[in-house]
Amino acid sequence: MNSVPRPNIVSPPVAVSRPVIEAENLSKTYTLRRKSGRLKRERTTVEAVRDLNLAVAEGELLGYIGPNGAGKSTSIKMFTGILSPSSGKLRVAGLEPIRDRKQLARRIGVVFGQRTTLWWDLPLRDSFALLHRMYAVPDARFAANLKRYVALLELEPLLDTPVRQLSLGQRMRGDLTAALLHDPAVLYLDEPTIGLDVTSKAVVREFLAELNREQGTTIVLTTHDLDDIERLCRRVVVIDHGTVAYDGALTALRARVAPDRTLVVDLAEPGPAIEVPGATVTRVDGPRQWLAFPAEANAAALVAAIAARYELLDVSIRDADIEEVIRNLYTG
Amino acid sequence: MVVYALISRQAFRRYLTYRGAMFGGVLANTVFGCIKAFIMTAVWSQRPSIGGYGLADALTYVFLAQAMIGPMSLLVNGLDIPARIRSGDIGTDLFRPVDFQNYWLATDLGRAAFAILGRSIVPFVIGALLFHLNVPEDPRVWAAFLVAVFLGTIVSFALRYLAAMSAFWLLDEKGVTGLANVLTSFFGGMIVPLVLFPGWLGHLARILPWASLVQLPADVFLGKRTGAAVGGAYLFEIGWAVTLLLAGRLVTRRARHRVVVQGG
Amino acid sequence: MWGRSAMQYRASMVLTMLNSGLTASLELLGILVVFGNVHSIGGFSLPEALYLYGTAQAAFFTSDLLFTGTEYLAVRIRMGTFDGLLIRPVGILPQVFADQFTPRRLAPLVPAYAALAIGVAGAPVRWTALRIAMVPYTLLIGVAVFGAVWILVGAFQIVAADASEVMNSVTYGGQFMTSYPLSLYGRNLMLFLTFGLPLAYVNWQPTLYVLGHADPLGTPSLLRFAGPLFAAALWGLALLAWRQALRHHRSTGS
Repeated sequence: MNSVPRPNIVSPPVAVSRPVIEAENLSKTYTLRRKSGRLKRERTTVEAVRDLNLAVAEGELLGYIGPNGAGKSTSIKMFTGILSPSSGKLRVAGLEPIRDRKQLARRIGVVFGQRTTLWWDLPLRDSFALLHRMYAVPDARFAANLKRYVALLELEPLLDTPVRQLSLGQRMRGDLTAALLHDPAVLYLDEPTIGLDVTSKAVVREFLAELNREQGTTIVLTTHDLDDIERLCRRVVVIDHGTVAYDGALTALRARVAPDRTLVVDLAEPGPAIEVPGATVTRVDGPRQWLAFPAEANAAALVAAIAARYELLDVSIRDADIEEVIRNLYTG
Repeated sequence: MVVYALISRQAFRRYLTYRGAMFGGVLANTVFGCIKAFIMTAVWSQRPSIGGYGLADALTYVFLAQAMIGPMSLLVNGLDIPARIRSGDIGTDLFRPVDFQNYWLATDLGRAAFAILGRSIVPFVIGALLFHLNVPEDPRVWAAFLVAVFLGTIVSFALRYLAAMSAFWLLDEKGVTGLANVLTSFFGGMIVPLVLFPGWLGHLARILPWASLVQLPADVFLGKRTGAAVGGAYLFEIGWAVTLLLAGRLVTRRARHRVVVQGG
Repeated sequence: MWGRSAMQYRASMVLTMLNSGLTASLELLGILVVFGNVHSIGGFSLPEALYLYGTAQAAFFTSDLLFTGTEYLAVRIRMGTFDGLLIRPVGILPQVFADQFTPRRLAPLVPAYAALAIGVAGAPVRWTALRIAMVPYTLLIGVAVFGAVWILVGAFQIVAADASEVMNSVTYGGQFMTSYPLSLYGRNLMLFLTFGLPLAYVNWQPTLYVLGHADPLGTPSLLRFAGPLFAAALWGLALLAWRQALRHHRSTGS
């Protein structure tokens, strides 16, 4: 993937305003010193992020994906002021993340998937109270937010439990609340559903969708769980080798990279691979066969053609698996 | 027997990977040894002989004590048992074909061996360079000394094992292991050499198990115990080792019973 | 609020407090044992030695109470929880200091102040208003000097997370050294501790004035009161080092 498409902002901002995240030719280079042999030290330069260009408008719910080591976390760390860029221009909420760290901190919320930002030994309630002070949230606003999020994320019974006694899913919901109590403009989520059971995942997804819908909070969602992307994001940014490999609508991504749909056919009896023009069998498992055919093709006609020659019990049509989409994108 | 040798060697290898962190420990060891040595110099400058020790003896004692911090784990418990209880891994440990207590003993000896190489030698050598120490020339004394150290390490293990096993019954064992460490540093002669202890306290300290850790090996090293007296020291150490290890076996059995009954 | 975090472990907390208090008390006992054998150390009688010991320990443990979160920064960085501090709208150092306030650190203050009290009561001092004022003054400067050391520890831990134990020699070594007459350590070390790493101002210099001892180094008597100067200089250095360490971390990500 060499060409970078123009950002296809799916939900246009209501007013013409600056993007809330603006990255221009953003780069981060590390120099690693490694021992090669007994006394010699080798210097290798690693370009973790290379000429990254990104504009995120207010109110977007952005999927931020890519293979491990592609530069996702590095770029997010730069957006949040944790890491300083090597070169390039970066503005978040109009501020420079490194220079205006404390100011920016008031406008953003961060949820690190694996590590909590809450105080380990304190009950949730106390952690939240601490944040109330730290962010100087007006009392009424804090109380309202707390009530709302505790209700939405079902934290009421857990408020007096110390964070270290919470399960992963419970801690995640606690971290989410903690990140939102001060009404941040941008919320960054790093693998928020990892390790969660199905119910918890659904709760978190629904919560994020509503947050974006009702509050207009800009959400940058980094995840490996492609179900998250499917259900929440219309715009997807794929980061690969330190730069933007794809930036646009998810539907367009799928169409572009994996133009095949899959027809799953259940024959009356197991048999050899079906032969029919316009489709290729990709897999056979007893009486069931999978056929790949171009997405634009007429599925009904194809089914009819197969039914004319074979006895069919059942058919179903599937869009390209998003796993496949991403894989194709990385290798294509 | 071979199994235990393998276990020890594995522990040794594991600690080898931590050699980066060793430097800080060696530095601290040396610094504290020197500070104590200065203090002892001030004390012995007023009384040339206390408790049968001259200044050189006292200084040597100080650096021997520092050298024993590593192998005898005098400042921390050093056994992984409480962590494995919390993580639940202890279940598999308890029901392995290898004897539980012996497994930990073998691991600890491997750790001790590495500690001697990594944390004992350098501080002692630096101490010997900076101060005038009483280092024996007779290799037999060195051999007798090393035997005393080996036996002392077993006593040290047995004590720490009992403290660590309290984690089976207590939510947080750090209170017990912390207390054990305090007793070890005091009666082991880390805070003040045992020869300085007045009458009754000195007598008490000499019969408690902690005397095996630094005092007895030092007595051998400094030539305060020779011939039959060395054998007496060994008997003392072995006696305490056996007693404490037996107590450890009892505790292990109760722990196993508790796990079976309560399911960890 | 932070105190409540340790309260959760009620029973073991009592034991831990007991332990830290016991350890400190046994070290105090150690001095008494030593003085059971001799009458003075470095020219200091028992009450005088206790005064010196008490001021050092009180200053150290009070600074421990206020500033010690920095000791755990290496662990934080290894566990990845350090970055969580960077996303808060508050300075990093204040967050670090506030983090480890636990009642456990209160216990050693008891034997420390006890030693100090005995020293003040028993030492043969011609108490003047100035000398009396110098006692709390000594503690204040002592806390300040150790505080700067804790910040240096923090900076070091961020930059060299693997070698964090090295700083123990400075912090706990410093605590140990200042508990005894500096004259014990010889001329070169005394010079270093007076003009290099100014631990001499934790208690030694002002104590020379309070107890009326001559300075074995022969430094001008103004130096007895120069604590604030050296403490301020050390703080300046420490804060600079801290800023550099943070810049390094935000540049390399550790």
